[in-house]
Amino acid sequence: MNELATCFELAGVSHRYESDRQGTDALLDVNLDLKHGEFVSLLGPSGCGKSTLLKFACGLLSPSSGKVSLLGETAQTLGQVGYMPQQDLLFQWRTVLDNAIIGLQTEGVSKKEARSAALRQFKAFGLEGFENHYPSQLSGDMRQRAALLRTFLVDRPLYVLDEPFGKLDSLTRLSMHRWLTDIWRDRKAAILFVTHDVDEALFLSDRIYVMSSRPGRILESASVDLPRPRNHISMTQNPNVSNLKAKLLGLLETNLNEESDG
Amino acid sequence: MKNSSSGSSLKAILPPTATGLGIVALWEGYTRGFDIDPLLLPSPTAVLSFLFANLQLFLKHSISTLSVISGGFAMGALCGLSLGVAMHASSLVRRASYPWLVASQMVPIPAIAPILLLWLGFTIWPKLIVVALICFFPVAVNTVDGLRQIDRECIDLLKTFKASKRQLLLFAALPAALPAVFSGFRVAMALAVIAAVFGEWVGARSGLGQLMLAYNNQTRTDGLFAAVGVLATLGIGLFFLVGWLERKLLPWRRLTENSESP
Repeated sequence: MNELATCFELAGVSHRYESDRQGTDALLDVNLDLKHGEFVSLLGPSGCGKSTLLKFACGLLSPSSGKVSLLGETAQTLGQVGYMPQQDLLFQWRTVLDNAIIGLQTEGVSKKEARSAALRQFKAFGLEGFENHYPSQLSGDMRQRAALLRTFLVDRPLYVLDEPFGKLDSLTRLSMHRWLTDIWRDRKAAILFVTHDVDEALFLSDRIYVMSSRPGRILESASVDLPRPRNHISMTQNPNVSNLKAKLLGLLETNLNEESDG
Repeated sequence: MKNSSSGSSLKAILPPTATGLGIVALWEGYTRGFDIDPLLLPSPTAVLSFLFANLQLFLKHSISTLSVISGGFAMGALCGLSLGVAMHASSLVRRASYPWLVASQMVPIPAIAPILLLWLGFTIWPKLIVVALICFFPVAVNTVDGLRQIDRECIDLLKTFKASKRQLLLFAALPAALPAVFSGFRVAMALAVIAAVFGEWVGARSGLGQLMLAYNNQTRTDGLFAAVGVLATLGIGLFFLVGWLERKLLPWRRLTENSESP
C-alpha cells in the first residue's frame, strides 16, 4: 500500500446541534486528512468539537454537511475505525482479559481464540499478571492501557483516540507517550489523537491540526519534522521544537483572546 | 469492609443475634413472671419443646412448603426475567404488555386462589402458580429498570466494534442489569414465603401453612408459634441464599463497592 496515499479524509465538514430553537454551530468547514500510518493530533481548547470530529471518524455521528471518507470510500465508517473514548469504559463485570477481547468477540472470534490472542499482548501493554483482575482493581494508567489493548486488539486501518491520557499525572504520561509510540510503530496504522496538551501533541505526532474554540475550525496544520524515536529531554532542548511550540501556543492563545474580546 | 476475616463476620452476626436473644428472654420472662395462659401466649421454651417433640412432622411439612416456594420462585423469576428482557428488546412487547403487567398485580390473590384450586385440584400446581404470580412482578420490573442502566457510551463503544443487537444485550445491557435483577430476586424471595403459606391455606394436604391452620383450629398455640418460627427460619435462609448466590455469581460487585466507598 502506498505510504503517502490518503487513509482518511474529512472534506468541508460542518455540524450543527439542533438541540434548541436556534441551534449551535459545533464545527465549521473542517478539512482534514491522514496518510496511511500517519500519527496526527488534533490540538484545541476544551469544547471545540474535537470529540465530535472523532465521532464522525468512527461513524457514531454523521455531520450536518460535508464528506467523510475512509480508504477513498465515503461509505459508513461504523465498525471500520478503532475508537477509544475519553472514559476507559471498561466493563466492570469483565476481567481485564475479557475486557480486552470484546472487539474480537463481536467479530465472532471464539472466546478461547480471542483470549490467547489477547494474552500474547499483555506484556507489551504492561498488564502482565493482571489478566484476571477486575477494572476496579487497577490504577488509572493501567485502566487506560487495558482500554488501549481492547482498541488495538482489533485490526483497523485507523484508530481514533480521544484524550486517552487526559486524566493521568504528567510523569505517567511521559512513559505512556513512549509506549504508545512503540505500539503505533508496530501496528503501522494511522492514528488520529485528540489532546489539549501541546507537548503531548509535539512528542507524538507527524502532523498537528490546531483547532479554534467553538465553533471549531482548523486554524493551522503543522508538520513535526523530527526523527524517531524521539526523546522528551532532547526535544525540550531542540530550538525547532521550541519555535513550533511557541507558534502553536500563540495560535491557541490568540484564538482564545479573540473569543473573549468578541 | 475490606478485611472480611472472622473478626468482621462476627461483627455482622453479633448484633442481630443479641437482638433476637433479648426479645426471646423478655418474652420468656413475661410469660413466667405474669403467669400467662399458654393458650394465649406460650413461652419460647414451650414452643421449642413442642417443636422438638414433633420434629419429624415439622420436617415433612417444611419440605412440602420448601418445594412450593422454590418451584414457584423459579417459575416466577424465569418468567419475570424473560418478560423483562423481551420488554427491553422490543418496544412493541413493552407497549403491549406494560399495563397488563401492572394489572396482574391488582388482582387479589385471595380472589383467584380458590379458582385455581377448582381448576387444578389439590395438587401442587395452584400453590406454585400463586407463588409464581407474586414473584414474577418484582423480577420483571427490576429487570426492565436494570437493562436501562447501561451507559449510552458503552453501547456506542460496542457499536464501533460492529456489535449486533444481540451482542449489545448479551455483552453490555444484561450484565449491567444483573445487580438490579438480583434485587428483584431478593424481594421476590421474601414475598414467595408468604405466598406459599397463603396458597397452602386455601387448599393443601401438607405444608407449614396447612399445619398452622390445623393448630389454629385446635388452639394449639405452641404448635402455631413453632410453625411460624420454622417458616421464618426457612424464609431468612432462602433470602440469604439469594445474597450468597449473588456474591458468587457477581464477584466484581463487591470490588466495585469497596473501591467506591471512601
